[in-house]
Amino acid sequence: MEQTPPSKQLDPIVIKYDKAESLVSSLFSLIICSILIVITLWLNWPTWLIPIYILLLILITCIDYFILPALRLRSIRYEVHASYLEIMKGIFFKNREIIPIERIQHVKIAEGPLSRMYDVRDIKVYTAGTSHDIPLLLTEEAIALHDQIFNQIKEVDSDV
Amino acid sequence: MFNKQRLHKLTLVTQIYNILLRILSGSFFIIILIFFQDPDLKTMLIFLGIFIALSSILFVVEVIKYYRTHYWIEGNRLVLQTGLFVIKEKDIQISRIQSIDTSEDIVHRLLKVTKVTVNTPGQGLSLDALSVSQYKALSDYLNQLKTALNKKDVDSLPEDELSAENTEFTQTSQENIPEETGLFQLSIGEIVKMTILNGAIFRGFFIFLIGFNFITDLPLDDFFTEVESVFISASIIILFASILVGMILLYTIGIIASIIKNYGYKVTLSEEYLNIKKGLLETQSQTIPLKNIQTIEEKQNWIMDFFGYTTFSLGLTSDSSQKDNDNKTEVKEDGQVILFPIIKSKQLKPLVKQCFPDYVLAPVETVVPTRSIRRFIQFPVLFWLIVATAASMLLWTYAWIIGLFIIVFYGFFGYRSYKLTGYHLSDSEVSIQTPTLFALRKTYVPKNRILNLEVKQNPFLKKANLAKASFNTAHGMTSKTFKLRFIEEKDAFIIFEWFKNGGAD
Repeated sequence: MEQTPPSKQLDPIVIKYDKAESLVSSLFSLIICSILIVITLWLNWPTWLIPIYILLLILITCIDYFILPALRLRSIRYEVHASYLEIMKGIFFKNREIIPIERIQHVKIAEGPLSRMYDVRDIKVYTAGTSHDIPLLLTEEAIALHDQIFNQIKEVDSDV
Repeated sequence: MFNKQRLHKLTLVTQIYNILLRILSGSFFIIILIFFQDPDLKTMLIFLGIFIALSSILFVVEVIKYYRTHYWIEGNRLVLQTGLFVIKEKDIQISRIQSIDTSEDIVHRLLKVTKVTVNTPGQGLSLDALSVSQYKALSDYLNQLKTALNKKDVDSLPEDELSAENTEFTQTSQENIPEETGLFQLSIGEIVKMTILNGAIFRGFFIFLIGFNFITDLPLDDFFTEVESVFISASIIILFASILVGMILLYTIGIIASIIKNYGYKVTLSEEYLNIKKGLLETQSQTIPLKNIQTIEEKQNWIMDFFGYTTFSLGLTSDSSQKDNDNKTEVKEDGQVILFPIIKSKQLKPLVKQCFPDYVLAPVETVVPTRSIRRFIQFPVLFWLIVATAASMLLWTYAWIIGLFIIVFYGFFGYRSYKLTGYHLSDSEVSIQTPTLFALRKTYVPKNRILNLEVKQNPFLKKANLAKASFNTAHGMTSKTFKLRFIEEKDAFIIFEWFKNGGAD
C-alpha cells in the first residue's frame, strides 16, 4: 500500500473504548473457557487440557487488550473526497476501498450501550447491495462525516 | 375506461389444476408410503375421502377469492383488490411500469388464458388468469396511458388530473408500440447441442456415479489389483456397459426435458427492452429493461470452446420483489439471466454490439506473474493432499489415485489462472477475464455500474509485491463480486486510480 493513504486518522482517545470492548469480549471468552473446563471434567478428558485453556484465555485477552487496539488505531484511515469515499483498514490483511458518493444509498450511525458511555460511534455506509463501515469515530466526528456524505449524496442525482 | 372487473371465468378451472397439483405434490410421499404397504379398500377410500374433502375446501376458498378479486385502473394507478376475509388492495403506478410479462402453464395453454405479471422497479402485480383478449386490451391500454403520462411529466400534475379521460390519447395504438427486432432464435438442433455441451448432464452423471458407487459397491478394488480371472473381467465389462447405458439414458431424458423447456426460444429487442420467449408446454415470456442491466458476461466451458460455441448472459438488479412460485421470478432474484444459451463464438460480438452499442467490449491483457501460480493452488492442493492421505490410510488404499488426479487437476487450474486472468480498462468500462474450474468467464462492466472497489494485501503478498483487487456490482437483491487475485501490486493500483478518477463520471 505504497500510495498516499487517506488523510483522516482516528482520535487516540477512542483506544479507551476499544480496550473496554476487549474486556467485555474477554468475559465471553471466560464463559467459553469455563464451559470447556466443565466439559473436560464431565467427560473425563485429560486434565492437562485445563491449564492450556486458561493459558490460551490469558494470552488472547492480553493480545486483545494490549496489542490490537493500538494497532487498530493506527491502521484505520478514511477520507471523503469530492466524488468518492476512501477507507483503509486492516492490521494484518490490509485493505483499501473506494466507494463513489453517487453509489451510496444511505448512511447510518451505529451505537451501543458501551459505545455511548465512551462517546464513540460507527458509521455504516450502504450501496445497492454492499455495506461498509468506518468504526471507532468520536461522536462529533461521526455526525460531521454523516452530514458531509449525506449532503454530497443530495448533490448527485442518480437512480442506480 | 377500465372499470372494475373480474379475472377471467376460466381462472376457476386453472385453480382446480393448481389445487390438485399442490395436494398431490404435498402428499406425494404419503401416497407412495401407503401404496407400498398394500392398502385395503377401506384405507384407500378413507384417503380418497380426505383428498376430495381437502380439494373441495380449497376450491371453495378459490371460488370466494375469485368473486372478491377485481382489478381496475384509476388515474395513474393499476389496482388489484383481493382477499378471502380481509380485502386487500395493492396498486402500482402506471408511469413506473417497467414491463408486462406473461406466462402460461399447460392448463392455461389449453384454455387459452394467460397469467400476466406487471413489473415496476419496486413491487409487481400478477393477474392470474386473464383471457388473451383481456390481456391485449389491458396491456395496450397501460402502454398508451404510460406513454401519455410520461409525456406530461407526471410529477408536476396533481393526482386527480391523471384520469384516463384527461390524458388525451388517441386510439392509434400501432404508433405507440415500439418496434421489435428479432435477435436470436434456437432451433431444436441447437437446443440439443446446448444440452450436450453445457456440461450440466456431465455433472449430474458424476454425482449419479458416485451415488451408484456407494449403493452397489462397485468392484473397483478388484479392478486395481488386476486379478486376471474371466469372472472379474466380465463384471468390468458389465460395469462399463451399464455406465454407458446409464449415460445415454440420462442424456436422452435431459435433452427431451430441455427441448420441452426451451422450444421456440426467441430473443427480441425493442428500444428499451429485451424479451425472451420460450417453452413448449409451458410458455414463458420475460421482459428485461435494458437500463436494469449491470454487467454482460460471456462464459465458455472447455467442451464449448472445443466446438467453437459460447454462452452469453446478463447481470441484472432485481426489479420485482414479488414472491412467486414460477421459475421466472427465481431467475430474477438470482440476478443472472442467460440471454443466448448457445451461440457460435464468431456470431456473438456483432450481436452484442447490436444490443449494447455503448459497450466497448475490449479484449483483456493477461496480468498474472509466474510467481503467483502456486498461490492459486496452494490451499486446495494442501487440502486434497490431507484428505487423500487420510482416506488412503483409513478407508480405501487406492484413494490416493483419486487425490493425485484432483491435485493434478488443480495444478492445471493454477496454470490456467496464470495464463488467462486479465483485465482491460477503457474510459467507461472494465473488461475482466477469470477462469473457473471448468470454464472461462469474460465480463464487461461499465464504470458507472461499479458499487465499490477494493485492493487487498497481506504481509506475504506485500513481500512478493502482489495484491488482490476486487469490485462489486448490484446483482439481484444483493451484489456480485469480481476478483482479480494475485496480480502485481502496480496493476492493482492502476485499477484503483482508474476507478478513483472518475467513479463519478
